Amino acid sequence: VTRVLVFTRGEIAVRACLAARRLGLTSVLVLTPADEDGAAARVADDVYPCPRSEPAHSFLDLDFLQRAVRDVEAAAVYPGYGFLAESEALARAVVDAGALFVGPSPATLAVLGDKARAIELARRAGLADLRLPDGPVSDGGFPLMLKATRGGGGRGNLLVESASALASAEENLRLRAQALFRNGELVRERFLPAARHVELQLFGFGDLGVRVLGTRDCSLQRGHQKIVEEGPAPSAAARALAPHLAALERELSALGYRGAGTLELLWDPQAERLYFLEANARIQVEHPVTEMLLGVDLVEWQLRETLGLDVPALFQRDLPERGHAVEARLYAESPLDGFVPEVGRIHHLHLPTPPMCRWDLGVCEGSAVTPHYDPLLGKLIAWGQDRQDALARLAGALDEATLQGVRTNLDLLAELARHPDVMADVHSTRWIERSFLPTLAAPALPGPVPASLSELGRALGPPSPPARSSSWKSAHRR
Amino acid sequence: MEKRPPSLTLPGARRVLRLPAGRLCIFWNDGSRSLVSADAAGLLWIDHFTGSRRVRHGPVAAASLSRAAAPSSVASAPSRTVTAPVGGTVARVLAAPGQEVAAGDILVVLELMKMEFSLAAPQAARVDEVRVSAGNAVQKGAVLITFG
Repeated sequence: VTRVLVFTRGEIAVRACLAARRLGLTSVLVLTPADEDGAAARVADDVYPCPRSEPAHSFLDLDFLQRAVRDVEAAAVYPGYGFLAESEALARAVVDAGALFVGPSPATLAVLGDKARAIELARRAGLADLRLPDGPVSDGGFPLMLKATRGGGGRGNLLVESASALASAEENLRLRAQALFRNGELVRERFLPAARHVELQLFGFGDLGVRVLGTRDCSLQRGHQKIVEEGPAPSAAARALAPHLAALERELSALGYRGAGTLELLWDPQAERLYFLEANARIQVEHPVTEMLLGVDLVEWQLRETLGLDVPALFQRDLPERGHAVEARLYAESPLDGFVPEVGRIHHLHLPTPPMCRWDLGVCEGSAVTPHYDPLLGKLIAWGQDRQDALARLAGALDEATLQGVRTNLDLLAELARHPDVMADVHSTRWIERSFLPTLAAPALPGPVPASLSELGRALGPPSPPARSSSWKSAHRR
Repeated sequence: MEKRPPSLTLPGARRVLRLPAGRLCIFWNDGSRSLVSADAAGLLWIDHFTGSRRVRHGPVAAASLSRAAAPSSVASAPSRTVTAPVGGTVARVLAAPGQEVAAGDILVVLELMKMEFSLAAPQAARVDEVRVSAGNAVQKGAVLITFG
């Protein structure tokens, strides 16, 4: 029996369990009390209970992980995304405990996890970047972006508007980076106000080499958090990238890169210039966009590559890209209340999938949404013959989605999918905050509903304790 | 088989369909449609369809017409405090004791997992007390700022 320890949660844990089953492997899910009612616990072959839900005592606890690897006699550990997924320390802990890490080697992670070293690699492949030299910055150099070299996602970034704010911003971010990533090193980058976020999905096969699988565009963001992603990237950006692909494959092959990875870039459509941002040496939330374009299961590829299951065939496979794909992230949050994360229990869930649509979900009816983790519940992915077709299918599937018990961003996603600016493809990374959010308004209860409210309340039964806001706690009790 | 309660008539509705687990599908006279359920606290969740568009409402208290009655968005008399809507870490404090603030001014930024969110002044007021500083861990409901 070959056991894969799934050391992650939510929808990506479900994907890992399903991929393991297809490959004849046994999945063992690390299960915290908070996730007992989640979808992953229903598809795993076995679970390894983690007594505490808090990340510090679960998915960030390497001692716990090593015990689990040994107890389960795991052949491999699947890290997903988030938490320590792309950290050298996790990969090393897995290897030291005697299992295979599903991802790059610790040495490779050390290089790509360091923004400065990743930029050097991109420069060798002929890519420009936005890095500013240390030392005094002239007034024309603002706004600029400060980034923690070891940071990931939005929390390692800070926009600085003026020279007078620079010193305190650097001090704040350095402290935050020290606390979050255990490394306070920062880099400064030039800030592009109207750019598109584009990225390159690649997959490494160690000695066989590295393959570029395609491009994506993730410009629909709020505070550096991606909301809607699509692929392929705008054709002008893809054309600008093309001359660099062979060199990037070469550079990453030289590192012995293994598994899924993404290179993130900014595209300035006015100047038609491309700038390298960073490398993400792991599977990403938005990888299904590429899966839909190519008809592949990248999570299965990750497991096959790690365990040596018919890898040359994957490396050589011809993969023509077809049509357009869009992904929307479903969050338990209240867009009308400053996007505050929601906790509660999903008591009604029905997510029809019209043709060419799929839901990758970490929750099911009855699942608790707890304050312990990121509020991402799952993702809707739609494929279309072209961009308009994919967006229309996405909007249609969002309109069919019923999720009651916690507030979500479903209405916001549907509005985005059919917004004229999005359909015309003229948005940029700051468009949501600048142009879209100010137009959001709370909808009033529609025409005939208010007159029936009290009767509805009676028909659906008297209120009973406990209150909704504390209902997640029942999942917490052991 | 689950025994379903008797049929229901509602003002303005041409048909009410009882679905399993105490859910209702209401076909209104104006051609729109609602899918309604209640949570454990008795609050209503209403998905309303007009044509092909769906708008989601909830949680809604049956006794009130406004979202304000829901426990997570209480709005009534001027609030004397700013409390943490979720547990998390204080990322930044942008208010100081004695400061005059306007409604909507950001006073505290909280961080939870990868999310950052800003807590704004509910109305114009003078800050009396700031009970947290950057880096503090706070529980849901904790009082962060009081007004004079």
